[in-house]
Amino acid sequence: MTGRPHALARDPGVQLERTALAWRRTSLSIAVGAAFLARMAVEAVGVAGLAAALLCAGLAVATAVTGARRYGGAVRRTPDAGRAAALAAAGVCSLGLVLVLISCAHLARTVL
Amino acid sequence: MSGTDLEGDAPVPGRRFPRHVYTVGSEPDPRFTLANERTFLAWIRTALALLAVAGALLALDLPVRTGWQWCGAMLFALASVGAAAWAWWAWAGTERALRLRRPLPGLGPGAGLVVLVALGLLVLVVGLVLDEVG
Repeated sequence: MTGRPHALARDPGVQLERTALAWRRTSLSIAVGAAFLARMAVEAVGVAGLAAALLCAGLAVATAVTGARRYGGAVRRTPDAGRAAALAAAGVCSLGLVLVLISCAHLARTVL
Repeated sequence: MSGTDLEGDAPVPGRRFPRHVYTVGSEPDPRFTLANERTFLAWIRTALALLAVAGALLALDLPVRTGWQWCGAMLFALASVGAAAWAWWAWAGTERALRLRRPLPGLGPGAGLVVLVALGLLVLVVGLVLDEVG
């Protein structure tokens, strides 16, 4: 595709850039989450915690790559967020579930 | 001009995921799709922030009675799961509505998130007071 740029390329609302930055921001947040999990989860739950931290780090890379690939050179492309969005949502969901389980275990140990 | 621009490297509509969104209606203004996507990402970051709260409650030694601290952590972790699930659900619902030129869905289950966070904070305050009392 070497034709004219898509209308969005000259969008005064800089929608593409804003969306790309939002992906980057999200990816960085997930990376921080990964570092945080690696720090705390390993001592709290051992190997499972390390696995969760690694999953989180992988998710950060995946979202960063998605943001870069979808907006870096592909200004002409019709946005298709589905798969990356599903991945990010499912990943964060499962990390949340890991913490739900950890806190339930803690709670049970305290109450019983 | 946009008609010709979308040919070539544009994804085939039937191949886009999820199908229940992309097989209905017609292509909306890409700016609306992008705004919807940014909203999705903002919800994902909200879920991550809630996750961080839950993690901090599990990791830190706070002046909160132990059981209440774990209970607060559980509530915030549940809220983060809810926020991430809602992010996806709301994104798909809004994208569908945009494609069908229908009114956008309301915040709905977002209210449940408010209740969970408020409950989590309440539990922490009670735990804090109980620890103070002894």
